[in-house]
Amino acid sequence: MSARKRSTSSRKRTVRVGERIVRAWFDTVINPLLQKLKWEQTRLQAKNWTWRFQFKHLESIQPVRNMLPDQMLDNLEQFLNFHPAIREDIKFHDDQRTKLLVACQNLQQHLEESDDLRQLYSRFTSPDSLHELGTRLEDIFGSYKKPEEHISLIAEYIVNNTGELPSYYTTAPFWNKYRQNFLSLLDTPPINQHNRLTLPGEQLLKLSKRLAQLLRGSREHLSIEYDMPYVTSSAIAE
Amino acid sequence: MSRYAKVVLDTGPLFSALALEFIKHFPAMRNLVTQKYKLPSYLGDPTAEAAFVVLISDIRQLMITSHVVGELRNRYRIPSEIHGEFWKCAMTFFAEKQVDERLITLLQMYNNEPMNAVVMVAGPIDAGLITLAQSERCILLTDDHRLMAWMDRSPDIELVQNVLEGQIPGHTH
Repeated sequence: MSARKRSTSSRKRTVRVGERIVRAWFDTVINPLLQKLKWEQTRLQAKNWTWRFQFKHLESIQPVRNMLPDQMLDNLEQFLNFHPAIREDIKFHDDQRTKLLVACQNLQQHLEESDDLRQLYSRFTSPDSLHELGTRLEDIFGSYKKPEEHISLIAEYIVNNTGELPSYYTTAPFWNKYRQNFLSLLDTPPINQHNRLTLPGEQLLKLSKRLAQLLRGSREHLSIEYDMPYVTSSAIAE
Repeated sequence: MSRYAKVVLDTGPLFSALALEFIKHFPAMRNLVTQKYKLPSYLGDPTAEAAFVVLISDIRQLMITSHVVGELRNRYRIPSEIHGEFWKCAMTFFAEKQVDERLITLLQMYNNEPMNAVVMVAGPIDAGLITLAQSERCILLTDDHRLMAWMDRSPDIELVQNVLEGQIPGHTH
């Protein structure tokens, strides 16, 4: 069935869209989603799940509907009514995202309970280690005052495969010096048995790319059919 | 000590900081703000925004020129519904960060080789920022690719987007 037509079963009359609706789909649904999916793929490729222990969520790996401002959601729904395959792919994406979220929560919990992590923390926050770093514990962890919170933050960094931190992070000197020690826990028993992020992360990356491909395909088809540019000059001027 | 403890900030990243500060206090107004002011592409997801906020928070001595304050008002449109609250929030941010606003006059730049040449190419606002950064021996943080390119990768200037992506010397992921 053509993307611009949808049969209504009750009256057997074809519903058609026109240029204004297609323009709105480009500007408020397809183009914004493609940008957000590109960012998501960058994070997934780096295996940075953007897991945050405080809020127990994935900060930037979101359900598709959360990628758009609220006032654009009606346009999204209309677009999906005419593109059921994309609606289905969105569901696959969001389901896979939930699996990744659960895997991150589980790994966080096991890291926080891990004796190995606590031993590393104690060793690297000893007075001698801090003296070597030339800093104080309270200066490293900022507003996180309690050791339990420090452990949680380090666990979060491990979950996200955090690389070297830029100097504007107070934790940078500590994490940059000891990150290999902390990250090695992911490959060491017993934590390695609970490190089940790679597969859901890779699956989500595939689904994200597939969704983006479907969106681009739809956009190309509509662009040619309606002689509609992907982006208008006024959108570029913004 | 952080490389960004003392920074001269260009208008673009300053306004992004003010916008995010306002959104932090009034999250329900986010869409209203971003309707008129599209956050730059390097702040494309919440993680990038959070990293930018950390960067700004780390700046202990934030400096701007008076030309930047003037440019803020002229370049960026704030919806009338939130105009008062936005600028109140901005002034509070300035007070809390003790933003150091300096007046770099056109005459000062005219009398300063090679800044008078920079004025002719990049304009007085950018020249003023560069003058201030050089006199204070600190970095100018900008998101203006053209300024960065024109200054031929001077170590005194860094692009915000490169800082956020860790693409500066000595920082690798």
